[in-house]
Amino acid sequence: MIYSLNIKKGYKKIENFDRLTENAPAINKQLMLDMLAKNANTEYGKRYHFDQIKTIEDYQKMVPFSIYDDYAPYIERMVAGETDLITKDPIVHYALTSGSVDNPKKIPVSEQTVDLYREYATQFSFAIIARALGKKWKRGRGLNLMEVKFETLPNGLFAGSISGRGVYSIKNLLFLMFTSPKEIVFPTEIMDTKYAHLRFGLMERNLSYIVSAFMTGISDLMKYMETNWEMIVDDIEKGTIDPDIKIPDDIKAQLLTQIKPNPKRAAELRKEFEKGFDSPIIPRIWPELAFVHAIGSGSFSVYTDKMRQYLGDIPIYFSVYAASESIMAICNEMESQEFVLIPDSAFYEFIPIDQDDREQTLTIEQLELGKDYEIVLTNTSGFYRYRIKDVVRVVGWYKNCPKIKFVYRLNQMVSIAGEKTTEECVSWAVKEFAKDTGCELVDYSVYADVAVSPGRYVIFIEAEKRLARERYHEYRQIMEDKLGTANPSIGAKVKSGVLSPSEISFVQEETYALYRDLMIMRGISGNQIKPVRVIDTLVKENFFFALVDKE
Amino acid sequence: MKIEVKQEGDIFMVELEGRMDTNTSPDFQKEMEVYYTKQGFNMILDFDKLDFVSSAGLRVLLLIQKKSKALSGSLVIKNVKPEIQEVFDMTGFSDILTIE
Repeated sequence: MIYSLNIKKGYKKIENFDRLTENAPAINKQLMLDMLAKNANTEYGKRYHFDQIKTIEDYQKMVPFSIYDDYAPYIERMVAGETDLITKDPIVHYALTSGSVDNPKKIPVSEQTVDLYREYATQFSFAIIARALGKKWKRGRGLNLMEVKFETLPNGLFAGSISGRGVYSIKNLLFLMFTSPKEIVFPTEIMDTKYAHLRFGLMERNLSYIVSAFMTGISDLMKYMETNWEMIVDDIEKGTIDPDIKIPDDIKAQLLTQIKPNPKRAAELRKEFEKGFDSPIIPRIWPELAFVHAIGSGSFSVYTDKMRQYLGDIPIYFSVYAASESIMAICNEMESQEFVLIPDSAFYEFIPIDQDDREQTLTIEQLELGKDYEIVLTNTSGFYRYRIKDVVRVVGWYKNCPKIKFVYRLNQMVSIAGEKTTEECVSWAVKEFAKDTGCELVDYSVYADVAVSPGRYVIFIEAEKRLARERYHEYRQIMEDKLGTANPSIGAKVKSGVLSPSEISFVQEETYALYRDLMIMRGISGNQIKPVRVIDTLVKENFFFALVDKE
Repeated sequence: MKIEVKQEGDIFMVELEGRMDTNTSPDFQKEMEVYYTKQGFNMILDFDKLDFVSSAGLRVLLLIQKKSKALSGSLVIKNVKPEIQEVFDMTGFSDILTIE
């Protein structure tokens, strides 16, 4: 029932989306004009004379680009209780970003933005999945890994991850949709939530799907399952929670009321786990599992590749291209890693990445296939011409709306001598290296080492199994060739001596998992931890260099 | 890795010898579980004869540290060799662990 309602609304959303994308340029422009008209009487609106703006050209002329720091003083006042500073819309939430450990940004989120997230990330997504899978999706409960950890601000509003806000908005429906009880989805203290999610998920033979903000969360859970299945299966058999599992006593008591011994399910699981993990385990333990729903393209793809070993033929829905500031694009097909821009979610401008001064923007209808653009947002929560610092590539068109894929973050680009190496280049080079050497990748990062002269690239790799050390020089050459192919400027600069030859540093097993453990310990929500693709701070530099496998 | 546990009053004194790495950390964790899951546990890890701690070992130390906070207990690490201290400093563990 719960899915039927969402899917029904989703089908209407798809119909509407087709109309919107047919007229994407006009819809998008109108959205911008409506937002400026609505917010003309805010402090920001008066400052930039929103009331005088009638065209896109006016807007581009009169309103400057912005970054978070431009809004920070307004946001501090909003958190203290002031209104009508950047938007007339009531702010209902502040999204804490994972950007900085010491001082996370508080991104204001309006009711309209929350609605857009719900309509697209839930209703539209479920309708796309239902349309693609038909009766293969039995519409049973799913295993949801998104947890809600909010703090309360002085103005009484919650601050936390935007994905957590989405889950919070369906808090009364959680039990109908998901296997994890509310005590786990809303953790009030540090506890072993991996155990708890898996314990309740494994009890459900008819589990229908797995959903997480990022693929890293699901991949980590599978790894945990491989290591701990015996304990969990014992618990399912006896109706217990292992005493070594850290869950506060009152919560454990609550959870135990929802658990009964289930020797039949335990025996079924044990039989499958004892066969090992060489063939896909998920279809064997959850025969009705129809799909996985998580952000898993771009820099997450190494985790998606790993997940295929557990999933077999079960399809992935790659969800959305979104940030705390806005939900910007969505997949309109299962397994597609191309995202259609959402014309009624934000007003988009694009700066061609090869433009010198990076001041002129283009709009939707001016984009060209195959080209890369920095995306500039005007969102529905009070950010105007905001440089989100993402670069996207136009990979196709859906009606009159561009299909994009995320390419890299501008501040994650590595450049030692002007060669501008993107995440995409490094990702391609590392994956090709893994193919050629038989290296089972766990994770990887790149570091621009300028302590040597001339500077050089250092690729950090964690491998499932240690590679033969005596072949290190051969590996280094392979990586050099791959980097040079991915970015010919690197190859040319190494040849001419502008760059030193690249290095590979293999880190010890579990290094990347340790990094995520540390982030969680420092208060970052597991929903928000993204892979470390560029080692760009002293903290990361010290961490990864300390854990290089020197043996 | 050799693990020797002595109880001194309400303190579990754990002497470690060898290497805490991918191969030895799972057993170390298993052996310590009985101690670090007790409410208000006090544990001292003596690293005097410990030569190496890998990422896998650090994950176990982080787990015990988290348990000590959750269960109002304590974890102290003593006699750390300079090369391990350097790893603690560089990874940020010096700010998380109590090292004497």
